[in-house]
Amino acid sequence: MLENPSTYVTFRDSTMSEWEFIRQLTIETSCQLLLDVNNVYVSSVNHDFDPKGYLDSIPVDRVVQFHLAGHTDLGTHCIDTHDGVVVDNVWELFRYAYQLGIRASTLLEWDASIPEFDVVHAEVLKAKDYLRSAQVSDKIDLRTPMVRQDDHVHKPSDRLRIPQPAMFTSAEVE
Amino acid sequence: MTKMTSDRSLRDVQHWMQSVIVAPDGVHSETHSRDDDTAIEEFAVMTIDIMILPSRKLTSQQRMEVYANAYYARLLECLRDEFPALVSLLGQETFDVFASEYLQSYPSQSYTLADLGNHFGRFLENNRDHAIDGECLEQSHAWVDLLVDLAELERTYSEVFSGPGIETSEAFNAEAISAIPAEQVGMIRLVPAPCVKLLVLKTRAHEYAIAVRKGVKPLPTVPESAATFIVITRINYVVRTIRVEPDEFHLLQKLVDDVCLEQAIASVAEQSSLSEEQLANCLSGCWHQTSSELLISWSKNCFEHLS
Repeated sequence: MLENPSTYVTFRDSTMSEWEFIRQLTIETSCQLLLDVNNVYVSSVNHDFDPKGYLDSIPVDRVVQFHLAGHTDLGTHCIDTHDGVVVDNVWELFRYAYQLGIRASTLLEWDASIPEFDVVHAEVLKAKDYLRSAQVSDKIDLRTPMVRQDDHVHKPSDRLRIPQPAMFTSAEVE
Repeated sequence: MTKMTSDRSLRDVQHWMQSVIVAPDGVHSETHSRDDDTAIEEFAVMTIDIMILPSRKLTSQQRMEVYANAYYARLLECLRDEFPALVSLLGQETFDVFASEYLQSYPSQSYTLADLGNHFGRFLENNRDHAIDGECLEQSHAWVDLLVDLAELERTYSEVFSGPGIETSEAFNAEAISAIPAEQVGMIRLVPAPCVKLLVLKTRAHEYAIAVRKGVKPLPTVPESAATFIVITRINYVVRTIRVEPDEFHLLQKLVDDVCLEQAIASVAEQSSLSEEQLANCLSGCWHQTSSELLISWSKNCFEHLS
């Protein structure tokens, strides 16, 4: 099982887009996918591509789980920080993926600056609302280009922003 | 697989990227050529434009910064999590300076972050002269002793916490010791639990470390240097710190070293500075009464079974 990553650089030597690579890899190996919708969005900003085009290339029947998360938008690029709410554009991509026919469970990743449980729970429940609206509404115009929101862009601050935290389990001591 | 248009193989590109990420000054490294590894890293940094495309808003170098910054930032974050009492004692800024130098002296070479702090205590011990204040030597020595002790103690906490324990082992029936005929008790040997560590510290660093973890305010003042004997073990997945008397410690050390009870006690008696009566009082719980609470307590927490 593989998950699509958030990425921050494009290699000059690369001759294949990430979505084409994921598609071919999935087809040729028959592996399953964790489709991280936030990662698609973050990479689309960082590499200047259309995130819907990425989702269009995902083999629908190979996805076994959606991942959603918050990220930090620094204006010039996005970093996958897992430390906040899911932004509207990522929710829209989530709905779009559902309308493409992808059916899978959903996991919200929030593992830095973790708020009270009620806040996390409310964010998880939004997924149900988006899926419900995707079921009852007519299909949205699938080709409408996504407009980046400016209202949640952070100004680059002194605080270093790094991708989701490294996993280190501190000792429990008494 | 991704095809490469140049002669560079995927492996070449991976090595190149690693060199840039671990370069000491990140993507801003310049050529100083202090040693071969550094020269390779510096050369890699100089070739970022050749390897990486810019985006609409970032240069190639700025894009690589995301990875290069994250590498050391993550390692520092892990060290802060592992050594919270050291962070408290030094303040985060000073801790980060020590930790950054440590990462240069002992670059991460393990697949797991659990090994990252392995040598931090040794690094601080080797650099203790740098931390001593020449104007207030006595106080400064005590402070550095605490610094080094905390590094050793907090590292031990991590190792005991994540290492093997006795939670899933069959419970050691320590009361069984009571059933051993009196004339044979002296010959018993105990197998130490794998989570037991014995430490001799120069300060009461454990009090400071526990206070930081419990969020106690104000924190204890820097203790005077004095030999402190500590037993660390893990019970129900929680690391426990037990301060013991020197003779208790030496007895435990002998038992952990697979010396039989009689010889262990004899050895402690020989080395002890206490009078026979004082020593007897100190160790009476495990010496004369094999079913004493102390020995049973030790047996349950520090030993797996009789050998």
